Amino acid sequence: MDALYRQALLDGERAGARYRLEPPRLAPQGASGARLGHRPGSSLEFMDHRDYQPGDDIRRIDWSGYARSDRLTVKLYREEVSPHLDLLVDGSRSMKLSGTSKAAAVLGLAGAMVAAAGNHNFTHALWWAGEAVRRIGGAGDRPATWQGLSFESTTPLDEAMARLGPTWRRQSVRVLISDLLWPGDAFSLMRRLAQDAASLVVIQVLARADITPPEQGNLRLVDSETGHEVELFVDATARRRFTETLDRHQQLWRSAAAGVGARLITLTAEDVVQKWDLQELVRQQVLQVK
Amino acid sequence: MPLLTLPLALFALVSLPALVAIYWLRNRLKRQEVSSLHLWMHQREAREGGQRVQKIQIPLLLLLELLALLLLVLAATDPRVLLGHEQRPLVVVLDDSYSMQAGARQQAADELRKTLAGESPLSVRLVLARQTPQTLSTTLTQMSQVDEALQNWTCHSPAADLGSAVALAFELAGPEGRVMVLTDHKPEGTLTTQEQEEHRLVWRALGQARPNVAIINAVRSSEAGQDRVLLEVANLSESPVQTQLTIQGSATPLSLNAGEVRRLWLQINDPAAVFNAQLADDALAIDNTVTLLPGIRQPVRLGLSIKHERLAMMLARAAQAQGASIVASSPDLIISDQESSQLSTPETWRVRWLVEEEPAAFIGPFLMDDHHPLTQGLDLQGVVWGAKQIETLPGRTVVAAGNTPLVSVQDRQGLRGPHYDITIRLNPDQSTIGATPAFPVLIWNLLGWRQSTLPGLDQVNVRLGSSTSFIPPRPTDTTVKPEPVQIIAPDGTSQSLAGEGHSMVITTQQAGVYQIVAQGRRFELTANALSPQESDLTKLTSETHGNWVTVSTLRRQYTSIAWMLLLGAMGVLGLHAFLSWRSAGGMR
Repeated sequence: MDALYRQALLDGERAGARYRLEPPRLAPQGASGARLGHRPGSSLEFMDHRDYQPGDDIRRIDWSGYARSDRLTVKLYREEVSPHLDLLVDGSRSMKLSGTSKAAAVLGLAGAMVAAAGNHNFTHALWWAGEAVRRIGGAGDRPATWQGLSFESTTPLDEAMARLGPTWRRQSVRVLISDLLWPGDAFSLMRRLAQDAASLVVIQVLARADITPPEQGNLRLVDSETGHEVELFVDATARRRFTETLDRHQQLWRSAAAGVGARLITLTAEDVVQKWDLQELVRQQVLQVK
Repeated sequence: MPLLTLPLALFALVSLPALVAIYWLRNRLKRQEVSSLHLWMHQREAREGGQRVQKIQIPLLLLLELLALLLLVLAATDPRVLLGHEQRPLVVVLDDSYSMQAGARQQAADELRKTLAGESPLSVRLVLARQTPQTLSTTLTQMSQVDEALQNWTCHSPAADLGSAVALAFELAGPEGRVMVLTDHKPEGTLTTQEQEEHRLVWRALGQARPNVAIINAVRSSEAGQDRVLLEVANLSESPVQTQLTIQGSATPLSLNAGEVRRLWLQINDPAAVFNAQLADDALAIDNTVTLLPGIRQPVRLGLSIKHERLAMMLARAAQAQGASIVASSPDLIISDQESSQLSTPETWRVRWLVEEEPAAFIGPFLMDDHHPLTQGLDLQGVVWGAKQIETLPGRTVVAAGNTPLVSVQDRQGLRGPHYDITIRLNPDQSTIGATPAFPVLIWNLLGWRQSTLPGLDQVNVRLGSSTSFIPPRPTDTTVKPEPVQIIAPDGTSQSLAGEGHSMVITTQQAGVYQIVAQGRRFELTANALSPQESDLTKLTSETHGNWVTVSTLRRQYTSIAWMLLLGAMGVLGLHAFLSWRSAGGMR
């Protein structure tokens, strides 16, 4: 693996060590885990009583209390959670756009998310979306030990997932790191990502070159993934039109994310790698400062 | 083919590659990799920008711009085409001197044909530059006529007065005419004429400097019954040469240093033999051969009928000294101190010598007709002339002492040819003329004058281009009309002249032996090419001086087509504007 990639992973891991991955606010019903949560659950540890409400499990009715007070109450037990991070990284060529810091930022963010998850006793699994989605490394591997990371795929993420999707853990916290720059069906992908997930966070990493259109002139634009070329004369109008198209694209993904309750956070690669400051993720309540 | 009046404007053609460079730089595509092209694929086909680069249009517009630039540059050069119907008259001067035989003649003929091929319509006159210029043709309008006229361009003249020929050519050409000189040497300084400055004269020299050995002088003389020949052979080159001289069929080697002129005196044993000398072949053949005929001019037959003893002795001695033969009958000239003489015939010139008694002694001043043949070289200063003092003599007075005529000449009318009666009044006993050169001079002039009127050629050996007089013999019967004189040139061409018995001048135009036939008698005349200037081929050169094309002549003779090019450029620019407008969407 490229030494730069390794360095980015280390930088991200160091940055993520200052944070904890924030667990999902709403624990799904019927879930069971290895840890007691802060909310009522189905563990054996009694926490409180409350009045019976239609729909409550009648096995939890405190019949003794009903005998004493003639009121139907149910026993509340501490929830039992098993937090897990499924991290999906887009391994397409566009993620290592030449002349940009996208690859370093993506790897660094992946490392940071794993480190932050570890700080909160999350287990994690790294899924790499190349021609298909495959798992990278073991459960307890540190990011710096990940092998086989390469941004050489020419297959869009949704197609890669369609070929061979990840085996997510149910109720896991899912994080997707991608630039989302392909003309796929954003809603379909989001639904698939959010299915059986405790929460879904989409971190969109864009290079400055992805956001800022080129200066005026004749350009031969080359698609980093397909190699297709198009020759354009770029002027102010073309630049404006590009910006409008990008805005519509972003709005599409935001709508798709909102539709499944996911959070879409857009970061600029060059800003990320400059200071490894992850405050934007803290503001978006993805991370917590330790 | 159009001519460019301002060819320097062609430098503006550098704008063409400049335009191409601008296009190339402007249209050069900068390669840029993007994460995904789909954000750029939704560019609508806007007119202002973001348009797909359409390469097919750029070369079309570029080509139109290049074409417009090219047309504008060509228009700036003010191109002109020849107006066929306004061709200026052309007169060509052809050097007819025999140095042209050393190769330049053929080249000049080719050059002439090449020049005339560009003349449309053809209109040319040809002038031969000889010792005196001569028109070779009237205005020729077809090449076949030119070729026919060129057959008479033989290049046998011993000299070419190109200055006079050019002057004649300009007279023939008129004020707007053009003159071309085809020769083998460069113009002399005096030929940098006004016409050349006015771009009316083109001097085309087509010669080539070559070494040449030539006979530049050949003289045959007779002395005491023995003929001698003086030959001068010149090596007209800058290096020594070995050649061969064949004299009377006998060849001898001849070595000449650079520029040397070898003088050879040769004895001819048979005075009646024809002398031939021949050099080995070299660059010019005409000057390698010399033929010298024997001098066969018959002496004057003199009849003397003089009773005065001293005068008879003086006349006999003078006549013998001058080769005259004293005859007793049918003399050509009779000198008599008698009133009448039995010797004379109708053809005889009669000199009546009056030896007057008791003469006066005249010591001068003597008045003489200096233009008369009898007074050539005659000097009577210091002479005492004895004659009676009278005031009139028959005929025209040639020599007089004051108002006293001493010698007179009377034309005898009614006879064919010149016949004179000469009267000389001189008493030798009372005169000192017998002791002075004046007396033999007077007799020499008398005999020479008579001899010059005898039938035959004045000279039989002349230089090429020279003239000699010929007096045809007269028929014995004076009532019979003389036959025409036939002159046969060395190349066999002949011409007949009605001489009527009078003297005629024959000018040699070819080297070789002329045959002259008159009254059944045959005379021979030889012309030898003996011109050192023409034989000297070292000065020949090949170069061109002058031209006919100037801005003023161009504008006068050629019409400008710049307006057509400007119109074309405007059309191209209009098409360019239309295509650009249509490319920009036209009317929205």
